[in-house]
Amino acid sequence: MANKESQSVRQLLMSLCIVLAGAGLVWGFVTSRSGDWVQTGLKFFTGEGAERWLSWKVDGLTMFFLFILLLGQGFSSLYALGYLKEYEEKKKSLWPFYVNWFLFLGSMFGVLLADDGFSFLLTWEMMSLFSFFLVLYENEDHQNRRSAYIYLVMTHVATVFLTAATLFLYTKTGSFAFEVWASGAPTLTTIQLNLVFLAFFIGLGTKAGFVPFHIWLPHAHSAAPSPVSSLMSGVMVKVALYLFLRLVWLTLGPGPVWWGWLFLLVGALSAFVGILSASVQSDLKKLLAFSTIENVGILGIALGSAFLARSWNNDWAMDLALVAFFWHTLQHMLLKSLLFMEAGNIIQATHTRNLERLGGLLKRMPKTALGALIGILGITALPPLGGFWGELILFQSLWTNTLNLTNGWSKVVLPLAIGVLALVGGLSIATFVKWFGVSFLGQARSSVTERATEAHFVQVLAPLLICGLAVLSVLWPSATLALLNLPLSVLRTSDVERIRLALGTPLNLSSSYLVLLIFLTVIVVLLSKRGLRRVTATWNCGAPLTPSMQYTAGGLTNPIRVLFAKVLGSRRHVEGDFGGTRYSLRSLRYEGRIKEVFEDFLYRPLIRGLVWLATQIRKLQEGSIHLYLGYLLITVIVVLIIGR
Amino acid sequence: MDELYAVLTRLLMGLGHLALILVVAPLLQGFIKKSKAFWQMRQGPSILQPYRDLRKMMKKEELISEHASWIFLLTPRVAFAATLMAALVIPNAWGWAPLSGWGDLFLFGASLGLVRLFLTLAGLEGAGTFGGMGSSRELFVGLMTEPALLLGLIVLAFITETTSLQGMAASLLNVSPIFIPRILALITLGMVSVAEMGRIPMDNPDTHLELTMIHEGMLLEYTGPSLALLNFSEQVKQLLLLILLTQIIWPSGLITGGDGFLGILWALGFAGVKVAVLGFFFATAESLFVKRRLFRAPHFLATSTASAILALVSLWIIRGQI
Amino acid sequence: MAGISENWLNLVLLVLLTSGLSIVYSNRVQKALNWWTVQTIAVSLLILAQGVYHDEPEVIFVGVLLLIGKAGIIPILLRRVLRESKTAWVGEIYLKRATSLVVAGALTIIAYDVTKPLMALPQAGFRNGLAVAIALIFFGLLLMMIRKVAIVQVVGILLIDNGIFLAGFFLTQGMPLLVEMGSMFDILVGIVIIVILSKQMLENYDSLNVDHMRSLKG
Repeated sequence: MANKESQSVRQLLMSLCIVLAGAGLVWGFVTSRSGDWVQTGLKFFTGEGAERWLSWKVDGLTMFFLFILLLGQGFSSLYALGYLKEYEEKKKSLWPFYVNWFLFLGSMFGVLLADDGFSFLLTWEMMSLFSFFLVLYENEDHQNRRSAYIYLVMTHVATVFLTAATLFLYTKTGSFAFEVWASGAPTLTTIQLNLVFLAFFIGLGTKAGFVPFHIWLPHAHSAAPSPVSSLMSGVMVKVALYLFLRLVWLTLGPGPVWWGWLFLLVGALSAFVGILSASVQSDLKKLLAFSTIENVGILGIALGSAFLARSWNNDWAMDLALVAFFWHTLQHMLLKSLLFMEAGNIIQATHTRNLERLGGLLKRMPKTALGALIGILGITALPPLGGFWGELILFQSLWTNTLNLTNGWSKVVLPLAIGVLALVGGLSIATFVKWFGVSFLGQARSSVTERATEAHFVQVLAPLLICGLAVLSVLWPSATLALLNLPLSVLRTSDVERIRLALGTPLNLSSSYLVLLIFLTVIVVLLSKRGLRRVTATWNCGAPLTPSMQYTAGGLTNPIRVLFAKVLGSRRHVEGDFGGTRYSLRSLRYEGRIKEVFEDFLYRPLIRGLVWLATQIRKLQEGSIHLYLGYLLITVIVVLIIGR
Repeated sequence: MDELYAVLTRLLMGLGHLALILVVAPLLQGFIKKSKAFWQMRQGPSILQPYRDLRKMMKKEELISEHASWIFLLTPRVAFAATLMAALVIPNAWGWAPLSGWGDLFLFGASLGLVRLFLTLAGLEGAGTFGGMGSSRELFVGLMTEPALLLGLIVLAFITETTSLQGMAASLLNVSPIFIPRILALITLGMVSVAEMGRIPMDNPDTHLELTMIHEGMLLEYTGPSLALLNFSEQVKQLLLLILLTQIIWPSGLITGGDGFLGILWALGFAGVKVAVLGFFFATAESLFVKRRLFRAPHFLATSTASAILALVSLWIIRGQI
Repeated sequence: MAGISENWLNLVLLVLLTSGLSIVYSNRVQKALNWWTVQTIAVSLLILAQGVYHDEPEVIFVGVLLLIGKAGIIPILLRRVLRESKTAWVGEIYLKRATSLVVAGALTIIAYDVTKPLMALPQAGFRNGLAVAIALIFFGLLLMMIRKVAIVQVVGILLIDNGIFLAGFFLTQGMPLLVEMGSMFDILVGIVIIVILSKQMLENYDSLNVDHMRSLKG
């Protein structure tokens, strides 16, 4: 009885979410087609005077990210509609989930709409808090509790920096409003400006998942329930990137050249470290989370290229970089949500996140597999899907940037970023072939997959809808470009029509490539159709084939692990039992370990230092009443001397 | 009406471009095999043997592993189509490519990447050890060839100030053949081509020894038409790489109908000779070296990447910009 | 320089630089020696080309002398010592091959950076040539520092010699004949002495490891 009730509550609430998202999208679509407010912004609930706070604004930039958020909300809620059923069956109360889900979505809206420092900080904190609760939802597992804890600590450290920067700007300009900050930014000294930038960079970069502030991300994204993971990876990370544009690009102004370099280098580092760590993971969701770090890195490179082009007055490269940034933001949001949903389906079907125990799921979950295949095609930056075209534009932007420089070593460093991106592309192919191949292809590696069945209808529908959207965005690039025009018209002043014209070539290329590829494939399929087919056993030198003969997830990317052993800090330990003889092996134990390099070399020393400092400080607090009275005496004397 | 006419011409020319590549690719394979046989002092099979092999395999019955799914059957088709997509951006004997526009040099490598993704997936389909071995190694080699290929092409793009392969081939006419960055980029691309073609020292196309094979490992489960398609696409890829290299070493420029029928024929013959000479060169190189073990592959490809970086640095130094 | 086209000059310089890098990267003494020979041939070809273009017989004479003396006699002498000593490997101490290559790359960049002011000169090839010359000197010093077999250190000296020679060539547009021959004679005598010395070393210690020399300290 109770079950039925909770079922209708779930359906009601999630449908509400979807309807709201749909309504929002329609409203946005209708309003953004008309009016000048896209550039100037539409303000509401705005108080008067310099001291105003809790003010909100919508402009083209916000609009774009609102679209991202609404899409993410719609699809994730649709997915959650099916996903949450499992908790119901386990008799786990869903109310904490619902409350936090709505508040999390609401706070993200708040962050996007905020037009002053106060409301920004308020909604930002809310966003962190409610996402923390959502990560903690599956709190039976102590591993999840630890993940959530790391997330909470990291996000609070980030907030410290953001608060500091906000309050500093408030004291300097006497207002929280972003506009006042923007007009006050040129009056700051260079050092002040750079410090504020760095504070924003660390604070927002932590949320975005830039290396080395990324350590919370793989933990939190994999511990959360899958709809939450897809929302966090697809949308929340983008919200942090949105704030880079809002607070750094639009507010702090053009800034010195090294800001761009910082974005570029940190982006390249994130992309490389992220995908490298992903390639050696064998946890279904952690791998995806690391890949999010990679994609944020690519977005960071795009931002860096845009910043650099801006300070070098290279409009064309800047436009390209921005287009690449928004394009990739959209594609990554779609595809990463999709992949997290498919991962969720696998987890619900098999109750394991360990790739080493999966295998052969394609035949049991064909629709999930189809979605996942399209997802990995898109996210590995291969044509014909969206991931590639964004990178192509980014490449072109870096290339143009380099070509237009007159001299200097930058002309070598910028093309090297292209090389890094290519390496990242290669690694991501390896990563996702492993992710897909090991879980869906071959034969089952353990008994967990034997009971696996296709997921609930909506859990298959939501990813496939995303697939359709991803394909559509490439097939009809001018529509996507119209969406990208919204933020572009805010970020730059020159006419947007020119961008559309110039970008026409590659984007038309994208749709014709897709069409031609499908066309050619169909022709080849039709031509090679005739002939007999027979199903037989896999050839195995005549011996019977057992599941353990397949390559394992660890084995598939082991060469990569060996090649980058120094970077990954990988160790292996082999123990053979020869049972007295020298030649006949009784048993073999293999253990491979990957060090969390950043945790070990950056965070642990930092924590140790802090703990040491704390013990030193504790000496002041001995618990002796005499000592405290002594402090009092000293304080009184100091106060008297100062206040003299 | 004129527009329709233009589109139709373009379409026909594109089809001709593809048809020519498809017809010539097995011939090149036969020629390389023959050249290798020459160095091994054997008679060797006829130059036309690859055509016969393809025809034979197209007719055969196809065996499919019981563990395999539809991806197994889709892979050869997609691989073939994607190789053809790569063919569309390569400037042909007349310096013309059906798909061109800025940024199309990235399309070439990416299309080959698409082939790689599907092939490696198919390698895992059979649930045996050999396929996985092939996939694992192919992924490993692939992640290192990609940066080298892209950087090599990027340097050429900087020399010619265009990111379209067709434009590059045209502008390279005006660049001295001993221009250092060009030579270094050529070295890079030559080494990458060896890796991409699956030739010694990276991989041995003639062996099915489990310890050494990469490409053949992934293909082990394939028979009949699927195998024919995969072999065919490998041959096409080989031809494409050689055409690209010849267009960099000695471009013939854009030749249009204005040059007369004789000019068009001459260009075709000239391109044929260039590709044949280069094919003979690779066959010779392959006869001289031995296959290296897998963990030597990074050295080989790091050298080619380093050569690309050196090309970049030397370009700016020669232009006096560093 | 005017006679040789910019591209050819750059090609020769590339050969010089790659051979220098290859010497640093070599794992066998024999290989290093071969690369050095290639380099010296390239240097003498450069001189010869210069002589032919400007029609200066004495420059041609120096070039031929260089080809015979440095690229001919010295390698033969050294190879003989090498055979007798049965030394094959270069003896990597302090830096492994890959690392030393990276260091050498960094040194090349430094060489290019210190010659930046020369970019203002009318002949663009000058800067490149001088930078490569300085890089070769750096490589020689590096090699002597990080390898322990005596012959490799000889190769290092020879590398430095090539570098100095090149630098002189580019700075003065061809040194006076006398200086040229003097310097070459110098190095030839030096090599002969070193060869004799290393034979002595071989007789006494049965190895070319320079660490043994420490025992000579009083």
